[in-house]
Amino acid sequence: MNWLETLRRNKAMDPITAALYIVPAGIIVLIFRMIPIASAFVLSFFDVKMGRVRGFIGLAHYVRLFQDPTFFNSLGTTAYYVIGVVPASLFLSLFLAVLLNQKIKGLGFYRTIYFLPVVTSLVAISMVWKWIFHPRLGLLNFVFEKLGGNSLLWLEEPRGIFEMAAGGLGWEWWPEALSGPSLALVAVVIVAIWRGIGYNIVIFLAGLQNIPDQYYEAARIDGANTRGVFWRVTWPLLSPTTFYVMLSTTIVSFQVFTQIYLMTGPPVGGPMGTTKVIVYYLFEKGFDAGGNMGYASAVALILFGIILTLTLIQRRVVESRVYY
Amino acid sequence: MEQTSSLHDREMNAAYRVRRGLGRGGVYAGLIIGVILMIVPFWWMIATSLKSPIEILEFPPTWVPTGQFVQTDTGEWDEVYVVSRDADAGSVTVRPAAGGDQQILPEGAVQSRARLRFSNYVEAWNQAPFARYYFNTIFVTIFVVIGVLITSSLAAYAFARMRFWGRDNIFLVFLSMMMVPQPVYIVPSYIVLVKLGWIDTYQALIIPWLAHIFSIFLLRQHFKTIPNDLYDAAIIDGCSRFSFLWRIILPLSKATLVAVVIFTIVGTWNSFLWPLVMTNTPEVRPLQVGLARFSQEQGTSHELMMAAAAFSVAPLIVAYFFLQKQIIQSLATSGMKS
Amino acid sequence: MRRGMLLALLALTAAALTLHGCGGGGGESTDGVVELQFWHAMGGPLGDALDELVVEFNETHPDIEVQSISMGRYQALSQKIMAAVAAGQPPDLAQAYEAWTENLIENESAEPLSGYIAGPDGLSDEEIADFVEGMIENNTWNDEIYSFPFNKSVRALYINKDLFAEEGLETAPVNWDEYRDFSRRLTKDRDGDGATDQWGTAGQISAWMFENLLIQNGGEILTADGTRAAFDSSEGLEALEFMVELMTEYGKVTSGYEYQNDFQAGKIGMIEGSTVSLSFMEGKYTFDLAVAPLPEQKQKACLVAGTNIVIFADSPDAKKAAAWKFIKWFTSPEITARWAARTGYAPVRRSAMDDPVMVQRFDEIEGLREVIAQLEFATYEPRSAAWYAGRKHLEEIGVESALRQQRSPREAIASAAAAVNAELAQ
Repeated sequence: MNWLETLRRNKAMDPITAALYIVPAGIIVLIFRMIPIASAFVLSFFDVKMGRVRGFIGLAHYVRLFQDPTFFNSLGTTAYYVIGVVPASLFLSLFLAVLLNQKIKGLGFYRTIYFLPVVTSLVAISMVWKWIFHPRLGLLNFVFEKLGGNSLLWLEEPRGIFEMAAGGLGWEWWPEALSGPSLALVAVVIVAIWRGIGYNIVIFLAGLQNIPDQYYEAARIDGANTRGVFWRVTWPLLSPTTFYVMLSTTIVSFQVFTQIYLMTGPPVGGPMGTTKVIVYYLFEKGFDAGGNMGYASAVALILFGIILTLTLIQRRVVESRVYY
Repeated sequence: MEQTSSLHDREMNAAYRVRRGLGRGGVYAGLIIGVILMIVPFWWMIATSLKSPIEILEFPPTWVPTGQFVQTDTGEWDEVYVVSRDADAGSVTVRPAAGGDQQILPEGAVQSRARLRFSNYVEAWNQAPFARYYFNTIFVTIFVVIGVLITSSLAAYAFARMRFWGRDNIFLVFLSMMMVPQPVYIVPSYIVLVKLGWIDTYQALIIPWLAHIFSIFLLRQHFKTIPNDLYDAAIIDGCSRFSFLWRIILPLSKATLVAVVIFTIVGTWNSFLWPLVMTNTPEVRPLQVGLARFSQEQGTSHELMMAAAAFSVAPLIVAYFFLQKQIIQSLATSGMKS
Repeated sequence: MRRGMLLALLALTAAALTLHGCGGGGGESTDGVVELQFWHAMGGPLGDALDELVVEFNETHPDIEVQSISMGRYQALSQKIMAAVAAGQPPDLAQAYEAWTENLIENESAEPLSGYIAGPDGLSDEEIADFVEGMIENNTWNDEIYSFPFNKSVRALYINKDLFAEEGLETAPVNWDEYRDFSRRLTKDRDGDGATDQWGTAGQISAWMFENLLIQNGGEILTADGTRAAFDSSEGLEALEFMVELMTEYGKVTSGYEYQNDFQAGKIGMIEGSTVSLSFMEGKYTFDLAVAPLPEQKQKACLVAGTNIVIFADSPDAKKAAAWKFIKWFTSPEITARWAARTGYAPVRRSAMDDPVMVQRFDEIEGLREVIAQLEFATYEPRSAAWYAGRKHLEEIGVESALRQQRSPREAIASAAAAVNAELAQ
């Protein structure tokens, strides 16, 4: 046995030694992740009221879910929220990132400011924005009035924005199904965009700086103008980053809770239930009157299913177009 | 021919420069509008937090906290609240801020001056046990950070450097756990903590967060970049596996460890849903939940809420201005989960 | 350096442990003091008033230590209570609406109180009879008392006497016609810019206001057996139409308590509010203020709102006995009078009306005595757990959509009734 063999043997370690290194993290992941996730699945088949399991009921929760108008409303509200946040956030942060990538002076300064909301707690941000949206004393209505607009109810406005716009154009009638997200929800969307933009800018900037200069030079020699360079070089080469930003913003948006909990109502989810998103709905079902934790778990699993499916679809669709 | 060409070039250049200049101007204009939009809410928070309860109710609002003052006989300026203004008579009805009867004064006697009420901060601080909330948050954060550093380095070392049965599968299971968002397992987690008897304790806020899968992932990636030769050399020198981690790998991973520390601090400091569900009493209630409860109480005034919001975000924001580069990098990587 | 860090950490741990106790939860401490957790939703001036009384109780009862823990809002309190009961770790005492109590009774988590009332430290029949009309009955289920009235409020009209005087109005409106007429006269464009800047009245989206109007108009909330909505009657429709007319033509609607700020700012002639609103407005207005009973239509109405206090059955006997002492103390004529005078809640004992503290308060606030006297014809909300959910439908689908002019009052009433019936049928 020479020293080289000892070395090799040392490397191919016995599982027990390895386990010692993994156990501290492993136990915690097991108890506080795996078991709860598995329990969520199991609980969704049981009737649980105020913490007491009252029996196995099979798919009854899921059957009820599909007849529960509040659940579908909360799904719709969440979808509106995601659709409101993701494209706008993507567009604005890409736009600002491209501006920041122009070898401008004070890059650090701009980046610092844009990123500031990311380190600020959502609780504080929600409180500040709720005050800014205040219908009578709020800063936003003040600015609106200064600019010659009408003051709006913001977080207290249950009417859909398309319906409001139609009303603004003087149309008497507008189909109820197309009234769109309430202005209250749009207010929450604005805050989400404001808060997340800095993070996305930093990611986009990293992506932009990874594009080698020679591609730009080559495009310019080909006679491309600024717009041409963007569409022929930046956009395709940036697509992995864009894909990532889109994915992560979508997933985070589906889980919105804090802003809803602190900015809307009372009661939370108001006005007229137009901001009751799915995570708040499951929170309410699980922890409020009745403590229906089985039903809440069923909602949670549907949420998980949606996020997982979206991730997979997005991955497949975008992967086929992404230039790596 | 040559001349025309250079003339042409020069024209091109001039046009290019003008366009470029305009473009530059546009770039800065866009960026500065962005900066204003990002900064105004912060400004509004601080401005509001320094106003009087009367000034809060004024519309249009003031950008800088302003008080109304009248000069006393002794030449001092006393603060008053304006009750009403009568434009026709040119008079103002005021009430002394310190208390007392209303007076009617001519318009000119009342002067506006900037007035910053730092006392709002004291009042907000005393309206709820914020000292306790602060302590709880700091306490929990410190332990979570230390715990995450220990568990993640150990696990990452095993995943990166050791060979054992099922290593990659276990690692994959870990990674897949990361994909499940917190709201999905918050209800059963509550039940798990109930079974452990940990509801409303520090344990509930600390122990479930002692392992951070993404940190393990990040450290593993980094550990893998450390060349095998180093390991071989160390073993020849009689270094044990643990001391190799402790003496060689960790010192080489300072940047990654700092990143882990930063996103763990920011994440723990700002976490909300978990402590909202898992704590009941002010004894263990962390800052964010305390702040939320404070803002939900009927009758809490806006200026006090803004003051409370301001002193709750202050530590991280101050730290951010000193360490912004590291913090941005760390948080940016922490989001890079996919 | 490292040693310093370690020491600091140890010190911090020690501090946390001494401040909190390792397992959490308090409990009986070594010196024989019974510690009670009391969860409530009182904030702002109400929270201050409650905390002061709790401190006083603790001082006068050295063997008991009540910890007052505010959850900020009723919604948050409800979530915390239900989750804690599910966890088997409820507090010892909590504020609770009747519907929550009903859930707790069903779950065997609410302690029956008859034994304590009849016990050595109990209440005599005369004392029980001293409680305001209906308050004990409303806390009784199947002949067993499970909770005690704690913070009970009634509605009142708040009047800006300066604005009234300007219009030559000397009294509060006593019926709907006057209510409408006064509101119309008080709605003005003071600065002449073509936009209304003073309103006759204002209010929030409130099922409570609608319910009072409904009762004034001779209607009922639910059928006598509590299985169906009864507010979708012609009386209910008239009530909602009147409310919409009042709030949209001569008034404005705010969600939350914003309308109080407008009223304080002198922009509203009169508002309906809870008697508690007074403690939130105290010292924030500069005009001459009076309160008055609500106007009536076919009859007077006084639908009492507010929560009761329950003891949790899971607590050890010593704690439950101590909790009862707190309830008894808090609902005693003297303390309820002080609580009422301080916060605006209605005293829960008749004899408290003559308590010097209360009398002094009546002298300070013009009309307050008449407002509290509305308790003579007090009625209460249906209290089933299903109604608690149903009430949200009435508020959101009925009152809110009508006040925000999303639906006509007729549609709003009909859809709210359908939703309530579906909820009650479950």
